Amino acid sequence: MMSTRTSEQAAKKLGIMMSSRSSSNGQAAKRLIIRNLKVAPRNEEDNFLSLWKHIDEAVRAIHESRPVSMSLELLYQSVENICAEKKSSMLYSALRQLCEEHIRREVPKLTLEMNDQIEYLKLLNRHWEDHCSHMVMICQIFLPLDRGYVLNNPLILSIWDLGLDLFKNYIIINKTVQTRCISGLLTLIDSERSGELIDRSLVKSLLTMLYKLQLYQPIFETEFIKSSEKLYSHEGESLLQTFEIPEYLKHVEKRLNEENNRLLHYLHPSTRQPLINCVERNLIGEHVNTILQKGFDNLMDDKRLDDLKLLYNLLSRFLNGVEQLKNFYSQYIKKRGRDIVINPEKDNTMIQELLDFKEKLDLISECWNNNEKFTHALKDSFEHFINQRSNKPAELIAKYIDTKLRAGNKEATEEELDKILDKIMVLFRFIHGKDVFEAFYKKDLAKRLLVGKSASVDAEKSMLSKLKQECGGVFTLKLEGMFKDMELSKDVMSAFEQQLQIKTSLSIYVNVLTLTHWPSYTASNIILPPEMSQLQEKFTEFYKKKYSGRNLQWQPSLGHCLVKGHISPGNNKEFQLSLYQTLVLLLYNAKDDLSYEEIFESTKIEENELKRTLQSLACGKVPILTKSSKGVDVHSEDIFKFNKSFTHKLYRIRINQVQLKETQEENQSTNEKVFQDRQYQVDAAIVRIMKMRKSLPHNLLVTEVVGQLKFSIKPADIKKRIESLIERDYLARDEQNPNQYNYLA
Amino acid sequence: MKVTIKGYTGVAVWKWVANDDTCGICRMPFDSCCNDCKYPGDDCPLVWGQCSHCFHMHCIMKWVNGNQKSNQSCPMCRQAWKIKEK
Amino acid sequence: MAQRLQKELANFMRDPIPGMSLDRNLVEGNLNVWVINVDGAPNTLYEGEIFKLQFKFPQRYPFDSPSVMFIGNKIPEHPHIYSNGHICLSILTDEWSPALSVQSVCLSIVSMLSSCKAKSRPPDDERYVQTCRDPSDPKKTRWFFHDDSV
Repeated sequence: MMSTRTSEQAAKKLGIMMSSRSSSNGQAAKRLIIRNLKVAPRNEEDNFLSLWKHIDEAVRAIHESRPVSMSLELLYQSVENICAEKKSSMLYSALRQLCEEHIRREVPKLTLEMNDQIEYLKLLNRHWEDHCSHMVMICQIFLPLDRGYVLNNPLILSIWDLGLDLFKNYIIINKTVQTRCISGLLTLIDSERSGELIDRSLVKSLLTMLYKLQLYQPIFETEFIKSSEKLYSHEGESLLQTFEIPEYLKHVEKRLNEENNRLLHYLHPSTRQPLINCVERNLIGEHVNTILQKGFDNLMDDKRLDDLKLLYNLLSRFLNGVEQLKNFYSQYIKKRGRDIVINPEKDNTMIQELLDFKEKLDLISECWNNNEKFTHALKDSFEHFINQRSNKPAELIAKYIDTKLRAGNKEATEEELDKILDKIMVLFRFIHGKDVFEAFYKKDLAKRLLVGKSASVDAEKSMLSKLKQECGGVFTLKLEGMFKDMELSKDVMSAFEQQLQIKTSLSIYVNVLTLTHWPSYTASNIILPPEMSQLQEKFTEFYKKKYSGRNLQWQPSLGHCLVKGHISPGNNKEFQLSLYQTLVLLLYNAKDDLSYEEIFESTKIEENELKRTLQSLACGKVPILTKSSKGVDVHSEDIFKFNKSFTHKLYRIRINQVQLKETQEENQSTNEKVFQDRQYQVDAAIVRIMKMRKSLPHNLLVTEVVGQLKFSIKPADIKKRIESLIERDYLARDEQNPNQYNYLA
Repeated sequence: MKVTIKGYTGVAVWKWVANDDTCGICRMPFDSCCNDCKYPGDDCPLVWGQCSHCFHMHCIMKWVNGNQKSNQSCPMCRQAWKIKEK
Repeated sequence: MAQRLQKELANFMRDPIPGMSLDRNLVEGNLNVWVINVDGAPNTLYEGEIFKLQFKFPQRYPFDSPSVMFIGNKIPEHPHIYSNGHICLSILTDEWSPALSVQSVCLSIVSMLSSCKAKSRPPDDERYVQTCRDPSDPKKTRWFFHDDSV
């Protein structure tokens, strides 16, 4: 079919005869036939021979590329006449014989010894092209034969196909010709693959020939793929040894482009699938693990977006390729993430590093073609590693937020701050022990509100609403209560000031807290100077009158004062101090040096607090006192002296940051409180599981408990809870097997 | 040196003056609110009876108003429930 | 109500009453029915006997009293306990107070059993068991109380 159509197309191109016939109409054809009948001679046999003589000569001339002496139209008429006399079969055989003889004569010309492969290919191509143009002319002359005889006998080849058939069977099937042709083509392609320029039109022409002869697949493609296999399997092995992965990936991409170009320019489209598959398989598919192992982490470390994108595209062509890539991705996140969270020495930078890491991963995410599996892998892996270190990340996230929300943090505008908070919420989402976060957040928020002066109420409220959105209203109920207390205190204070008739030189402001909203503070009894305690007393009276049924408990550790200090003539300062610092400095109104014991007796500030306070006054950035002993530690034998030569470039000086700092005890007690709350949850989980299972061995029970809890817990701690439940008769050890527990109903 | 205090910002925690820690009806601590409220304080006040027992106002009201026999007795001591005006 | 019952459950577990234990086969999430195993106390008439006491909590608990009765085939033989398990105890109806709890009711029942000097059924047992309004809910009965001292 194909070849018949091409023959007609070729005929059209040549434009002889065909065009004149197609321009004449049916009438003209009829007239011709009538004239032919008139010319018809008496003897049919003689007539055939005489007509054939001309035709034979013409065909021979065509074969030898000589001019044809007779007009093509007359030749055509002769053929038509022969056909009209029903001698088509004879004519066909004669033509066939003529062509066959010609082809046979051609064969030796193509089997001659010849060293230059390209020259040989050119020769073969010339023969082919000649063959085609000869056949086109022949077809035109013999058109009536094709239209009548051939069409009516389906087993007979059309004249064009006959030509192809002969060319195929006498020339190409010839072992020598075939071997030279194929090896010549492969050599050309090989040299193109190694970077040389080749005559692509020659290759294309010969490949088209093979295709038309239906030999492309059996004799060329198989060999071609075989040689490509060999080349690329070798290339894959060796380049992976010498190339870095990004370089290698680029090379693979280049190879794929080249082969696609080959397909575009001379290979038949049917070769695409086996060829591209061959390149991909040999350069990528066989080496997925090696490539990932050798290069993936580096690509990630260096944020090589283009290379990662390319890697994804290349691997996505293989079953499991993307899956393997995803596994390396998960492992990478877990590995690098763990490095960030696991080392206590790096706690100071942990959160910033986590934020940077997350940002980097988000940036890289664009390489994964929106594949949801990678989104999940990122989440899962992040969640996995961040909880490898229990509790600490949650605590540090809370503290990080604290530094951002504290007054004096002017690094960021409101908008930038909000963005930072949004990012930190993403980390927060991964954390299992949200209770730890809540405890530290609450403690820090309390200090910001009561001591440090929060940077901005808007930012605080915005953070609160983010937490509410994430964890629900119950989580933030108490935090909101804290803000409510602050508002209420404002109202209470303005009412208090109104009823205070005389303006005192000392003004007071009180934050009145609702016990359950705030972290629990230990009450302590300290000695206040009379004017302060009177003022406190006045406020307490006022409050009790306003809110009957209530009483106030003062929390001196959270109080702070604005103090005017007259250091020496002309050296006046204003200090922002903690209440404890104030009480200590007040003592120096009477005396210039005081022993630790004296200070303690006059203030009754609890020992650890007092030491911290003295440290802040004598060993900090604002040394308003001097300490008798060297070093920063405060001892009970120390004498503290007023520093007369104290100077500071500022007039207003804050020393009360000491209140904002978290002490070790504070940290510990915050943690302990969380763990106590958790014990109930652990107990409840154990009982729930045992009630359902009735009897379980130790290990299984521990595993199930861990699975149910939202925070991580050490197996040893679970064991303690199990023992406590045994003591309380919820569980019992199995009598036969002490590692098995039974539920007691 | 001479130091003078100009301003004092103090912190105090308020507590109910109650003769018990928890409300005898809902069993919640007085420092928290009753089960129907969100915040302790003015939103969920306490009331004291003349018998000196006290409850969340919401809790005792439910008892006093809801009982079919209009039982006006203190849940703790069964004396007649009368609010003590302070 | 659920919050208060949770608290009571926790309390009941933390400070158990001697001889009483919660049958822990409570349906998870449904705290409204409790069954308590009662061991007859030593040195009383009920020593060695085991009873089951059932609490059902109404919607308005603790403002309405729970309905409390003995269930199962062993019903303590006591002048204030009917053979269908109903208990004649004032705090369960007229004298209920929201300050009472499962624990205080249990304590009353323990002391009621412990102070018993002779096993017998209430005098109107036969009639009551046949005519009471709802055998499964003693609260439907209009009680008058025999004797507060026992």
